[in-house]
Amino acid sequence: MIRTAKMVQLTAVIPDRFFQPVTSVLLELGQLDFISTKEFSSLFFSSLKKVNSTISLSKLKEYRKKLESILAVGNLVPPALQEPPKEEILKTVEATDFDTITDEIDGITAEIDRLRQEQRLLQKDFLRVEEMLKQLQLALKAKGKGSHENIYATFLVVRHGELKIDPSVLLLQLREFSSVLTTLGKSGENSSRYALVHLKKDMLKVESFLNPAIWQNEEIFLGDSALDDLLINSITKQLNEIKEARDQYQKELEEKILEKKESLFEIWKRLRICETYFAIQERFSKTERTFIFSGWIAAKVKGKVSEGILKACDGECFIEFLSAAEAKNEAGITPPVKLETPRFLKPFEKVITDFSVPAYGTLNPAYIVSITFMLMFGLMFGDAGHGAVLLLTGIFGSIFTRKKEQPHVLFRLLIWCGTAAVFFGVLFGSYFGYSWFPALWFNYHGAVVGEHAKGPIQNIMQVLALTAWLGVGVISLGILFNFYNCASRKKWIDLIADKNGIAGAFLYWMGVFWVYSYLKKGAFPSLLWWGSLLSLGCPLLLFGIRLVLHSIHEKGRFQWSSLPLLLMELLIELLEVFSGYLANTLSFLRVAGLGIAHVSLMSVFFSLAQMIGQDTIGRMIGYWILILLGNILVIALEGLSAWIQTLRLHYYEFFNRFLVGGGVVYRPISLSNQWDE
Amino acid sequence: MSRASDYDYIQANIRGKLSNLLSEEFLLDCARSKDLESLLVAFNETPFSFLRDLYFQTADLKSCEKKLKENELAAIENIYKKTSGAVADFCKVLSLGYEIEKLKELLRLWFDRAVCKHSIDALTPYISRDKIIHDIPIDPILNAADFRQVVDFLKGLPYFELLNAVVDKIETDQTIYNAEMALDNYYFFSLNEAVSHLSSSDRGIAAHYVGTLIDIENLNRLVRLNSYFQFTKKELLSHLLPGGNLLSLHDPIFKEESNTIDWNSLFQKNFSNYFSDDYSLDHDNLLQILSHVEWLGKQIREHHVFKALSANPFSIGIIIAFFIRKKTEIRRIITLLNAKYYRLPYERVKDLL
Repeated sequence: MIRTAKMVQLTAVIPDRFFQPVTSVLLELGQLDFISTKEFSSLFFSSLKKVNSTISLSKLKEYRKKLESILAVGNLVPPALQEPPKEEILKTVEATDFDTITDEIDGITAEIDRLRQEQRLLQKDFLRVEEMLKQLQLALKAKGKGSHENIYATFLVVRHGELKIDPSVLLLQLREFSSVLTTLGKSGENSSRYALVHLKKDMLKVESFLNPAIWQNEEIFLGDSALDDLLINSITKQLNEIKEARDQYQKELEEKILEKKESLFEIWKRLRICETYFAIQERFSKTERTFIFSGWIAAKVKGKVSEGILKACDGECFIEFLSAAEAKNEAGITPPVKLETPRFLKPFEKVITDFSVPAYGTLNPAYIVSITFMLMFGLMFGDAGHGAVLLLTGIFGSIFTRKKEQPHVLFRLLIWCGTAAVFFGVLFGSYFGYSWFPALWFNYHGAVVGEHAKGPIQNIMQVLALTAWLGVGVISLGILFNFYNCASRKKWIDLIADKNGIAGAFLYWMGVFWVYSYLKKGAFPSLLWWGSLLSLGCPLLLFGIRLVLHSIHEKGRFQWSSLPLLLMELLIELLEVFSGYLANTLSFLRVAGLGIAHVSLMSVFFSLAQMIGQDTIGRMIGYWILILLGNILVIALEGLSAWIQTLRLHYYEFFNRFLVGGGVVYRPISLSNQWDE
Repeated sequence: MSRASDYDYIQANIRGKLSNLLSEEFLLDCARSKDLESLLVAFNETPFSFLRDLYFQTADLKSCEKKLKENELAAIENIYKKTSGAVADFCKVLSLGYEIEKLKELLRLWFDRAVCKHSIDALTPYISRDKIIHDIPIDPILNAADFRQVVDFLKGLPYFELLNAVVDKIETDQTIYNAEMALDNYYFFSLNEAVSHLSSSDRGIAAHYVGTLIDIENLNRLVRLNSYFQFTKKELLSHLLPGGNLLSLHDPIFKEESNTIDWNSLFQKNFSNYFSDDYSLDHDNLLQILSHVEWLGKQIREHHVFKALSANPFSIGIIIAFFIRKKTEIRRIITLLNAKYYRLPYERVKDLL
């Protein structure tokens, strides 16, 4: 688990009659990350025929995606799938009638289209009425400026009148124009008062509908405030009614999809199983009577996979396993990388893979990163109250973003960081900037503001020293990890003579010893002359050897003419290593910097709040509002800063030292894995 | 103030925004969606998830387009608010471009209603009523009886003088092309004016960008005026804008009286970096020529973005790059929405993108 999982390459040849059972077994196991036979350089593999599935894979995917979009209309997300037993897989594939499924999906699509069309018509009405309402409001706004300035009077017509017929008849005729007909109340037993607003350009057409027998015209322009309000309110009401009717279609759609939820999920499951099943088959190659496939699996499931295939073929197959090294030597194929980080530490794995996927066979630093990440964040953001806020944000965020049972990684990381901040807050005795309980380790606030603090750390210089030692620790850890990675990849020269190898480490650790001795005793160690010789000479010699070896490797032999250039390179490299290590270590002082800034900012808010005082109720309210705002600001600002700096220290100072990237993620074809995304 | 401090915040801000733009790969994947609803669901995890909610609520594609255009303008105005001095003035002129486009759209609608006697009622709700820089009297323009009245409504705005000068021409020709051209000319004039006030290093970058825009505009004018109005090459010259980077107005071609243009040789001569030898245009196929001009414009703009992003980050180049990329992103999304609404096949959508 501390390094990437050991992989083996599986190649199997099966008689053609076992094609389907083997496919089912591979899907049930969900362990094989297929290798295309094209990747093999051998002539035999290139002459193999491709297997085409009986149903087009792209069609299956298209309909599956379409179904997902239908489910999304009903706010539904397909459930996560687990690999079913092979018998069920075969039964599902055989029983799936693709034509029926496509007909069903097309039927639902047609129904959605029909409802959308209805919705569209109502939207047209909505926009028409909304447009007239806007123009009326603008006209009323302009009314106060004097009627001659009201340009709306030049094109807007507002009529009041009595309508003696069913308004829906007139509404239908008016639908084609920018107009609105709205009721203003009853005027008689069989008649109602209506207002009709339209544009002057449509005057002739509109008047042709307004038969004097059904409409007693009374053309007016706006002026009576009570009538204006009535008009606006009535149109607004009409607008809301249309909106409600329009939204009803979406609700109807949602309900219809919800009604069919179970059957749609079942169809989706069938499509996904078929898609994965045929995707596996398309990765096979064939000869006249056999099928051949190859892929990577984790070494620890080797027995389980070979047993499954053998059982499916009644033992009539040939299976070959090659180790990663053998596969690389024989076919030049690099294995994919499987990081076996436990689920609860996955957020830290994401921090690593965002930088780069570790190369095969190197260290998976997720365990260590989980510790260093929380250590750095906690030291920068050590307050139990603020940490609790982050922790709760992480918990609630994880719950709310839970999609496909996979909460957002950022919130999961926030839970860890919040926990670290709470832990360090308790150690520092800091709760929302208050010291409600005594510090278990040292009082950070006391150390920063210069109060006579008790505990092992009592002033800023000691805080700085603490973080410098943290830097030395993290860098040293990075160097040690690099030793391991170099050894596992058999990069012996890099292990011995690289700046992150033994030579560089020796230089660094000697430097740390010198500085420590000087700071502790006020003078360098007495063995200065041979100490200098040893700590500078040895690395210099090793760096020089590496440069010479590189030069020989590049040019085939050593050229004396390149010696001055090599010496110059050596000098520059030495300076670079020296200044690099110094800067990298000092870089960790930012951990103290951020921690001090956190404490200082809270102190500022407390000072400001004390200036307000608490002697009256008003002042007391002001005091607590300021404290609250201060806490919010510190959580947001410092939380973000601490987060960025923690990431930066890991990416730049830690990972750069040892992490060999460029790995390809292991992606087996299975139902529980998003292999095609 | 140093160059770095002028742009430190804005360049970091824009770099963040640039990385949030939808990638080519994602858009091509979207082009594979079966229909509009599937496409909108694909936008769920992007900053455009509002499109899904809006469409599910209204089933109205044009409302989505309107919202997207507002989103584009808001992004540019957001940059404008974060800048100051001459850079802010330049950004303001970029926003002015949107106002001019809106005014042109209003004029086209007015023309459709008043001159062509078409109903525009279905289109007017999609006009954004938000103020960009000036208060444009939308309803009065759309309802104006004639063009003179349209111009009268614009009194007090910079557009009044420009359009007043072409009233007679528009009334005689019965086309608003001259009004549109006058507005475009004003936009380019304002851009050049804003560029002249920038610092010397910014001026070079911005002037190159404006030159690029002028080249694309001139090419469009050349094709349209020559094809629709049969202008001779000499006549065309007076309608072209000076200041382009690639298309020279001193080219002997513009001294000829004939109206036949050899498009292949014109493109080869002036745009050789973007025009391959083995590509040949059919002179009678206007659509092909226009789509080639559009393709050329895209190439030139993309080249400009590449240059701007790889040059000094503390310069106006980053703002211009964002402006181009944001515009392209919105245009592509609108293309996708329409293509999926009409269920165009993947290959066709890919070409359109």
